[in-house]
Amino acid sequence: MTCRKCAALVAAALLLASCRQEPSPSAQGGTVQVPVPRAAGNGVQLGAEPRRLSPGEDRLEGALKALLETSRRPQESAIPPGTRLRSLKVEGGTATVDLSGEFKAVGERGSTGESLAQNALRQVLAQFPQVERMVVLVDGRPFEGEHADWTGPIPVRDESTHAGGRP
Amino acid sequence: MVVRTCALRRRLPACAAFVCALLATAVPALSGTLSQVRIKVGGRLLGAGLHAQFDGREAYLPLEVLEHAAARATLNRREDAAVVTSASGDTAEIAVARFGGRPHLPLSELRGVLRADAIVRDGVCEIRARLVRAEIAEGRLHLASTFPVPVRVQARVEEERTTVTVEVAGAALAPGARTGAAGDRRVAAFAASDCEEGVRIVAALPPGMGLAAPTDAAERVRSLALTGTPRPVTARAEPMPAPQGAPASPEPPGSAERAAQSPESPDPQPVQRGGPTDPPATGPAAASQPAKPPAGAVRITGVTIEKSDPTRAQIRVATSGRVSVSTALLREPTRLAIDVANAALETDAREWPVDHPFLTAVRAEQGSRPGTTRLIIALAKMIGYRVLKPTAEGFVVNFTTPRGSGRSMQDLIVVVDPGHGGAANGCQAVENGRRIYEKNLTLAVAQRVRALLQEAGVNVIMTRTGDDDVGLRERPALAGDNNADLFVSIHVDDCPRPNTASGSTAYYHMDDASSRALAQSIIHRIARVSGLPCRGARSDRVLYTTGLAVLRHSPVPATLIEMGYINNVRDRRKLVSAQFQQVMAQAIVDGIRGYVEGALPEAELEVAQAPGRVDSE
Repeated sequence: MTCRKCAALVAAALLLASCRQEPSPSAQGGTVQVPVPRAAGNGVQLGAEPRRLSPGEDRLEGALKALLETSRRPQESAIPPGTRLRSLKVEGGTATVDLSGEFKAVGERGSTGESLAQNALRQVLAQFPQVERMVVLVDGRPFEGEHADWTGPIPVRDESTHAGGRP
Repeated sequence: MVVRTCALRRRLPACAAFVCALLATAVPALSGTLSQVRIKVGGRLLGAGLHAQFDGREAYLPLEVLEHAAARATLNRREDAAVVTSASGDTAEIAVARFGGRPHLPLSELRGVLRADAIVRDGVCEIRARLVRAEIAEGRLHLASTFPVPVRVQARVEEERTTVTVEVAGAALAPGARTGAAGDRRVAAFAASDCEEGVRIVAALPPGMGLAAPTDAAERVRSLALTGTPRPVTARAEPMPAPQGAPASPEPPGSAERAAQSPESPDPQPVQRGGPTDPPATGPAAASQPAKPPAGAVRITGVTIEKSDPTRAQIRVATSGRVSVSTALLREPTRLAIDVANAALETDAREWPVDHPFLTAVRAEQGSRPGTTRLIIALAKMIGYRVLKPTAEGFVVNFTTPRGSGRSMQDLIVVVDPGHGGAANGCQAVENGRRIYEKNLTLAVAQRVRALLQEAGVNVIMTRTGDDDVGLRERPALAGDNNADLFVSIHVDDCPRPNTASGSTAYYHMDDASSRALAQSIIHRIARVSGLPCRGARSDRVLYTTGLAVLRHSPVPATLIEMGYINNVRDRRKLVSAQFQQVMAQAIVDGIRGYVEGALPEAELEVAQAPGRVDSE
């Protein structure tokens, strides 16, 4: 086999790959799902809105930032207003998400509001197969909410095989 | 040249490995991460040309599937998202995934806009409409589903009654569905329940009456007239035999809310539906003839009741293979029904003697579906139960009396926890120009609870008595440190959208049977007096994967009461009222008393519709 044949084989593989689309958002043309609260019956639950990311934007970080940007409309966001992403690191299946201090206000949103925030973060990260758990820091330090314990790694997916189940 | 070729030959394995890795990464189908599954919508298995792509977590459906749920999808200009409009008129924009160039939509998003139940199992992706109404009123049976599904009516005419069975294929009862026949006194019994093919409704009518047949047209809302004139009955009717798919005895009219939705249902298991090839019940005789188990049915070879002590019991069911088990708590009399799918009883006994303070009888009968065996466990009082995961040898049901029950109030130590405090204000709102903090409302009610409990002779420990910030672990730790019996946390809820949620909720931790009983006891009393919607007793699993921190760390039965929503005008006006705070405190104390003394609430509870499943998560 010559170098040319080898290169042709690689090119064929790339071509084949480009013809098929993965189910994960990483191959969906720059669109990710961003969880937002929606009225449902007597209450609120998370729905999702598609967001198109900028070309070349890191998809995982872009998805998280898109979620945080929803906080500009407080009544339509699970995230407290003004929350920014300080840093993001993925290592060994764990995404460490460091948020700005504004996120602490999540404890002032009742158990429903705080759970919507946690589940919104989980839903965003669950779109990326490489993320299995998340650790949430606020201003670089472990965060304790006013209803739930956020300090340990939190699984981003349920074990249930029910499609569309709660994350 | 020779040298270069040899070098390339040496590199060939690495090159091939690189290509294989590239293929495996980029093409999930080739790497085995994707599978094609059949699609079933509204009870109808779609043709082989329509498949869903399933990656183990998410199923992606082609757009053409939507027409089978009376919905439609329109791709946007970039064709990277589709606007889906459901039969109910809901719309949502959903990102598109492409498989072989064909646009697909994720099931997790579709089910929301279609208001459907969805599951991928045994190679089939099934979408069921939600039945939001199955109610007899004004001489008609009213059915309403989130998209059109087929309806079939059968009637069994007997001397003393006509039993009408209505099968709504490809549907599932919606949480909080309106069911019952309270508005029609002619209906002697009524039951609506999920079954393997959909929802089955059974109504006992007087002789001479019947139900009009439905049209074949696909409709989302149907109204079937009760027909005929009641004939007088000379003899008293015997209890109606267990109908297909319904509880062993239909509930009295007005109390037919699905057991799994009721706060009385302590631990409903997920409904395990049969495979897609299970034959539906057919013919008018299906309801009365004992159905034969399908070929390959698992054999139930033994039922053993073990009394550990007066507070616990265990039922062991031996089987020749793994079975699917579903449970329902039935009322009047209180009994637990355990349906074992695709199983036949191979024991001589059909009833087993029981000598236990809270189990009064155990018997087996033909289940509501062909091939299903139903075990009925009659209960003397409300208890906790849990079905352990079936194995190839059988399954086990554990029963316990709630911890700390069966005592007097004077023997009790209760930790009362006013939520938040200090710098942790909790949620807040403005009422009449005054800022209201959750921490003050919870303390006000907690102090009233303390006073009432102390009046009843209970030893009360408060986690805080002033505006102090107490850690989430420290609060329940007080219960352990003081050898307390119960932990009751008091909160006010909030959510991002004002005036969308209303009412009271009692949370318990995960599947803890005792905490669930405590939550149920309290929320029942609150529902009777609060004047707010009751959101029921719920596992804290519906909120967080690890649950609520104070409940998770409590060493004793614990509940967290969310009294109402601070961002709901109606709730807030009540929450700030001293009169309401006293009423709420009294209800909490009454609930604690009911739990401790083992008293069942007197009445059924109507649970307001809310996202998530009440008492079933």
